[in-house]
Amino acid sequence: MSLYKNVKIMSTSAVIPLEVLPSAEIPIRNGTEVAIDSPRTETQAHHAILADLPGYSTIFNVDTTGEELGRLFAQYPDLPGAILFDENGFRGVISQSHFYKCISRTFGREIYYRRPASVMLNEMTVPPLILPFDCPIQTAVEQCLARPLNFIYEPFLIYEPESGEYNLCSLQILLLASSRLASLRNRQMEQILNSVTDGLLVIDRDFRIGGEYSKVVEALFERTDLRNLSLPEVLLPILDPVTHEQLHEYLRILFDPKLIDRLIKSINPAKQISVRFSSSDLGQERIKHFTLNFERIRTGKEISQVLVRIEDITQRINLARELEQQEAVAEKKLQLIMQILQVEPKVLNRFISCFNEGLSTLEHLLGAPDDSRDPRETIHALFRSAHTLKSEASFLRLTAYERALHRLEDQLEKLRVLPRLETGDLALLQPSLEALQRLGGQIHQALEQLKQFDAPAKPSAQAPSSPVTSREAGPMEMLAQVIAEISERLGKPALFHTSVRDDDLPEKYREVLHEVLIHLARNALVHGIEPADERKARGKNPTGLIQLELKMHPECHEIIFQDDGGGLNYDKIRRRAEQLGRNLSSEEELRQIIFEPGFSTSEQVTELAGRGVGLDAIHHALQMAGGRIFLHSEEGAYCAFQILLPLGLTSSAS
Amino acid sequence: MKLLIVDDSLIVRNAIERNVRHPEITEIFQADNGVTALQLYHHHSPELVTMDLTMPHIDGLTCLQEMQNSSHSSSMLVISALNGHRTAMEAVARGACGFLVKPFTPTELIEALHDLVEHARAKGSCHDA
Repeated sequence: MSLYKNVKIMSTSAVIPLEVLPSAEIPIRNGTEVAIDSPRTETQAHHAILADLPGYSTIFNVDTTGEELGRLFAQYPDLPGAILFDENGFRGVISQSHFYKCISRTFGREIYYRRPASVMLNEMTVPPLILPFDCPIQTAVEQCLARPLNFIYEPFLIYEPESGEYNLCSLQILLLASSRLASLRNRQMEQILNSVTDGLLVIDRDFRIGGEYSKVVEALFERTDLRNLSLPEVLLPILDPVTHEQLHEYLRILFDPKLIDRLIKSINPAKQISVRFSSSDLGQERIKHFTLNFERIRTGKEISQVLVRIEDITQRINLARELEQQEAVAEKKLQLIMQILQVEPKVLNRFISCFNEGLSTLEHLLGAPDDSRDPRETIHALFRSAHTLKSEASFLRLTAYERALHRLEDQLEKLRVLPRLETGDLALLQPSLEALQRLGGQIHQALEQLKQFDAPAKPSAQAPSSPVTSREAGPMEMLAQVIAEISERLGKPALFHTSVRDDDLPEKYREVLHEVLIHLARNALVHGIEPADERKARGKNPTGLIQLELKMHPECHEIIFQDDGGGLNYDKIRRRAEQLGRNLSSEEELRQIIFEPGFSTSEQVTELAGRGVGLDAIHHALQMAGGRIFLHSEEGAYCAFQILLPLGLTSSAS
Repeated sequence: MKLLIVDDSLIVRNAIERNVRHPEITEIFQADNGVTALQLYHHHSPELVTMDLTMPHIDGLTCLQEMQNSSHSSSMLVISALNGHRTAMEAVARGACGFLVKPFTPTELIEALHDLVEHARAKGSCHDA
């Protein structure tokens, strides 16, 4: 049997790079070589098995003499040993080290050289370690190192059952391969941790951050000294204390092996957290939003570690917020449209033209202040316009308008109480005016949108005279609606009683009366009618009563608007007048002052009333129509407004 | 295995009972308040309990605590609305082994019950050993 034919390198597709192989030249059967540029990928190296290792199939007959083995080992010093067979098959292995141990004994050469190798084999007290070809490298290392200390350095056999082949491999090659695989794994892990976009880290039972974490973690926390810090320590300066405490508690729970993985995820308090970072240069705070996910790693029954995945969701959150805002704007527009849809077309047109007219008046007053005019007068004029528009908007339930006009009134109020008023101060009103202009634009847009729905009954702002098919509410019905609505809003039950029909209202005063009566109705409900419990206490019907009467006289129309509320509180009016620097004694004088611009006894200014503009506006409007208004009242019993309007042609204001 | 469903809502109790499709669950008890729950618990010693937290008479947390203190121990799952993390943590601290947040889908419920049975079984084998 030729010595050399039996020496071969078993593996041809080894993924273990060549440098781990012994450097000696080994004759290779069939001329095969170990490929450096292996087609197998690095990933496959993770699953490397013994078949991937270079092994030697140096098979000899047990009768081979020690001398022959000696010649072989002399020629190939890196050969781990020889595999011995007899006619019955595999017998054992004589390693180079065992061979030299035997022959280096006294007379060793004489004893073993001439005798068959089986003699040396008998000296091996422990059988050779045989491992299957598909045994993972790491398992093989553990098995080899588990051998008795004296035999640890012995080569081991790789057995391939299909071909019945045995191959010999040295511990050196195995350990080199194992160590290379480990560093390969480390390198890959490092690459992964450096390239993943998620923050990955592992914490131990003390919540300490392990040595390996993804590069992104440092960017997320804006610090590089994370190693060995605990996760709560890192979060403490950037997280609010309540969430921090909850998270700390949750981390404790995570390490409780009794709990069910899937069923504690729902109580993770860090699904979405806001963390604050202070910018060093500006002292400003930046807020980031993170989501933290936890995966428990079990070792046996215990939870040994928890894998934490941190993701920066700031952009997602911001985007969601923007969308929400956009939705809110769209919602507002829709509301406006819905509100418009509920309004009678003719009424809406009236409102729109009033609004536009009012707006241009406001613009004009503000835009071209007449220096010769007392700015206080301008303020009063603005007040009247704004107030009238507001009552219209309130009636039509166009709340956006009502609120914007209320804000304008607020600002006017601020100007009104200034001790000295310059024309330039009016510029303060500009923002409110702009808000109103925007609303004007919106209602225009909303109407344009409505037009596209092809709603025949709804007119547009541009075409106020478009045919109206639906039934309109007349002034009386509208008045009843206003009363019902305001009484509901204020929580003051009230009944409206009248025998007046729309046709009874004198044609030429219809507009002004419409405005005046709405003002009076608001006034009666806000200031006049008492809350139900107060009325009960006074022995009155808890439901208030508002009555309207119309009488025809030879020379004038007489309209009486009466409520059975608390009537005029002369003391209160007197005190308010004194506050304004007016000393009034007679009831007649006191009744007059409430028609003056800016007079109100209401302590609370609401969107409904309380600015003292209502009666002023009424007075003004009636004056313009040539009419007059009188007030009758009994404290605790009633308040009645008597309006007289001439029958003849409207005379100019007296 | 025996399952005790504790919830003051009949709808929720029936939803849970309907979705119990585990072959190992052989008996089901329902309690609509903490007092009944404790009576049933002591009488039948169920291996599995699902517990609502907001209930009349005795609230879920107290109930959990009482059950935990008794000689018999079962795998307890809180099925409740997540009003605050503190309550959830408290429930876990008092012996619940999981938390299913209301509202839940049938799939979530089935999975949760499956996990609970597994948990009870692991615990049972622990005791045997």
